[in-house]
Amino acid sequence: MSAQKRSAPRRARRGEPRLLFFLSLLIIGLLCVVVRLLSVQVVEAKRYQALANSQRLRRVEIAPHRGTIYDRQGKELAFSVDAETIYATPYFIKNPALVASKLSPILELDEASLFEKLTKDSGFAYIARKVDKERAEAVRALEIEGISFLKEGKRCYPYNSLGSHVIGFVGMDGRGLAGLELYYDEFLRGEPGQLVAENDPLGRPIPGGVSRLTPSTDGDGVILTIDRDIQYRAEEELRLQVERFQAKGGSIIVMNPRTGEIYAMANEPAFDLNGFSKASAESLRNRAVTDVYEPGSTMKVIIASTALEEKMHRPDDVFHLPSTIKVADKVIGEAHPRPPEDFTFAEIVAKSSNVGAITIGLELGKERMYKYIEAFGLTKRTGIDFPGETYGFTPPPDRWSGSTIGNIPFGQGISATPLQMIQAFSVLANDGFWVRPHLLCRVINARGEAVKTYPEDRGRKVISTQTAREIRDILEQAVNEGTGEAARIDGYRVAGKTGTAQKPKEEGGGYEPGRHIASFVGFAPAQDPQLVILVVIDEPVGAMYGGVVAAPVFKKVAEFSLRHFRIPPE
Amino acid sequence: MDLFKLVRRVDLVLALTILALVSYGTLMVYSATRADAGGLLFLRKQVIWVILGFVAMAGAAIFNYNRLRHYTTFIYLFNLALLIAVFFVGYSTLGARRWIPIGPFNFQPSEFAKVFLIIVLAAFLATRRGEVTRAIDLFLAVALVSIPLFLIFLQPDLGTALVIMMILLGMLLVGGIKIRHLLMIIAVGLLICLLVFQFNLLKEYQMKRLMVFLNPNLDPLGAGYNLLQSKIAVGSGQLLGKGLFSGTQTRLQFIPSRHTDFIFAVVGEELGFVGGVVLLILYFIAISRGIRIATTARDMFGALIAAGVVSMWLFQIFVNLGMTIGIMPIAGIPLPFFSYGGSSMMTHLIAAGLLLSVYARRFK
Repeated sequence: MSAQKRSAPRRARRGEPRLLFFLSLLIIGLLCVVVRLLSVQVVEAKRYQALANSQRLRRVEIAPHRGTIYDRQGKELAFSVDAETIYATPYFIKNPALVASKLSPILELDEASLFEKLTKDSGFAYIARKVDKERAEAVRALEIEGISFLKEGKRCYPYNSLGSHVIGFVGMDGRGLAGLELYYDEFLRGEPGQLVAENDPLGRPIPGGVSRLTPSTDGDGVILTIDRDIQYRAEEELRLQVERFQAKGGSIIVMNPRTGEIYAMANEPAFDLNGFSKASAESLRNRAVTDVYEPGSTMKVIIASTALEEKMHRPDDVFHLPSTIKVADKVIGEAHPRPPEDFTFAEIVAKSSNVGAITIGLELGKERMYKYIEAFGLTKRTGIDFPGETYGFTPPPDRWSGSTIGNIPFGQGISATPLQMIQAFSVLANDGFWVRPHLLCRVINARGEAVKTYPEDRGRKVISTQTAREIRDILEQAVNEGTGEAARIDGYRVAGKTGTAQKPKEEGGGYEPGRHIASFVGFAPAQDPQLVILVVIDEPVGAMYGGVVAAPVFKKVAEFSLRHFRIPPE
Repeated sequence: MDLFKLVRRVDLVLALTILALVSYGTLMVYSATRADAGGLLFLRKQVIWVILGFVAMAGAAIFNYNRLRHYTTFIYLFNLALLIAVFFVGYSTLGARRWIPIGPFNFQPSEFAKVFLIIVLAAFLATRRGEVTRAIDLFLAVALVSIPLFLIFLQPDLGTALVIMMILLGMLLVGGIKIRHLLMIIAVGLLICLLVFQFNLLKEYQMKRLMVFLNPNLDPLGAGYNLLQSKIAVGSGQLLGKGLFSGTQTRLQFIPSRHTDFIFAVVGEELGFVGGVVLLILYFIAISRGIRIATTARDMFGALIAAGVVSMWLFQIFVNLGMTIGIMPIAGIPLPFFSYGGSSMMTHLIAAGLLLSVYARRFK
């Protein structure tokens, strides 16, 4: 006790002031914390509040219901059904081997690949996308921890390959990838909604947490000009003919020359829309708008129209035609050699005389010829409402060689898409007016009200009504007495022109021997055309003439369509 | 001294402040853990420790601290035995072996070591009558602390080791060390730090924590995650907080260790700046009372005990608050009277009990 008494004053001397040092440390420390708290909680509070919200609140997109695609009769060609996507959070899967063995038989997926997905070092793995309700329910019933579901629309095409090239398809993300699904995607896809949900650090939604729902807006319906029945018939007849002649492919277009509405557009080979991912690239092309061909003799009709419009000839003018004709360094004869003969102007077209067409072409001259080729729309895209349209090649007059003027009149050295070609013939069928071809009738919203209607268009005048009528008579003669006899339909007057073109070599000049493109383009009824139909068969084997290979398809499809539209016989 | 006299002499301000702190802390632990899968388990355990802690505090207050001098050798060896036992019967989590399981509870000897060392060091320094001038005394004091310190380093429990070093410095300061010697010790300490850096003796995670402290956006999903998340929680609390039990970052478990080391982030988020300041005022009262007890102690032994406790609280509180709001690097140091954990709660309540005992016997 006495020792402490002595030490007390010393402590007071040295220890006590040092305790004040502790007090100052305490005060300085407190001030530091308060200042920092002020800066974090008052000055920068807004920023931290925003950070807190951004990591806590997650935005989940709610996929809208994609609009339906209808044919002109209101038949559904493509629609979306609710499907469920199954995904896993691999971190939560306790026994991946067992889970894989359970899921495998239900989903018909390989057990090993399932196991791989379930053991991925990640918080998310797709197990199966867009499976039907029954399978999803079966998986749900297993109540496996870490397996979750997501509603997604699945696109269904009830007629499989019907209209495949026109309709096109949709990707896994619900966006149109090809065809009209792509072209009218902005109407079909709708507006996604949003669910703002509160999440824990692992991104799982909090039951009962705050959430705000902005509902999605479903996509609009699209009504096409396509007629399901005509489309079906056109596809069938085209397919049969392609098979019969072991052809490489083919295209067919059926349209209304007055309005530009396309009733059917089909190509061979086609593909199944419900399995487009397995289809070959060859079969995915809508050749009718993407591929070009040399039109051959159908071109003679354009040349003849030009001569009539320019009033250079009358249909009954007589020509003394030699058996061959020499243009520049080339000698051109007929498909079926004949002695020198007299032809009327009409017979040159109806009997498809090369020599006659060249004779008329030489009279026209390149400038006038080009002007009409351009006016008929063969030098540019038609502007159809379809993605990826191309157009053929017509050399501009200043680049014609000496022999060009001897080629173009019978459809060589010039190319066009099938759509461009049927379009040119529509002008003849439509009293000389060029009307833009189209596939959209109108867009309708959920209440069935029209949101957008394809604008009506009187069209652009290309030739006079008089000329168009005269050409129709000549083309009727071509069917009745000329090369297109296979296109005749009992009870109706039919006009049309055959075309047989050699295929140009893919590399270098000249033509492939033995390879042809046979075509037929015509309309009915001849005096009041309601339908224009173009048939193109690529590389038929065993026959090559448009009158033999393509005209019968025209006949069958036209016959069916006339009855389908209840167009009375004349 | 009879009990009646003792009760009259108790430092009511300190006792009530401690009660307020512990109540506040328990409420926050409840708020931080109520949404957990364990439900009320955390709260129940914490309440048990608080009750046991208050009993221990009362015991320490009643017990005449001067009699502790007779047991210093025993206390010192007992402490060493516990620290060694950890290596044999302890279990490890997160790469550290710090706990000895006793029934459903885990006992952390390194926490208690702080109080044991305060008592032993106070007794040793008191015999030097407040003047640690001889080098041999200084050496002995450092040596005395070094053995348990080394054992704690090995666990490893770097946070607690740092606390003990600060206790040593604080007690040497009050114990009458020459400023020249103190500066030398600090210089040696800095030299050791330099060597540690130079030879990469820090573990990778410790190095990362330091780097992240210097630049929190360095690795926001890894090492910087804790700091960023606690700052987001505190900052989003703003002036008045989101309300008790309404902290979104807390409830959704964005804050790591939110009921232990980062509990201040929960206070900041739910009760805002105001709640934080209330807590700071409580700590200010507790520590300033501790300083006052040190100055009014009857003897050197009591003054040194108080100085040790004050050093411990000062360091722990500011390092913990500092790391939560990003002005100190992250070190695993719990917040006294607040953080969930029995050993920590018991240790600090016993320390408070020692202060009360010193205060009650300030007169002869």
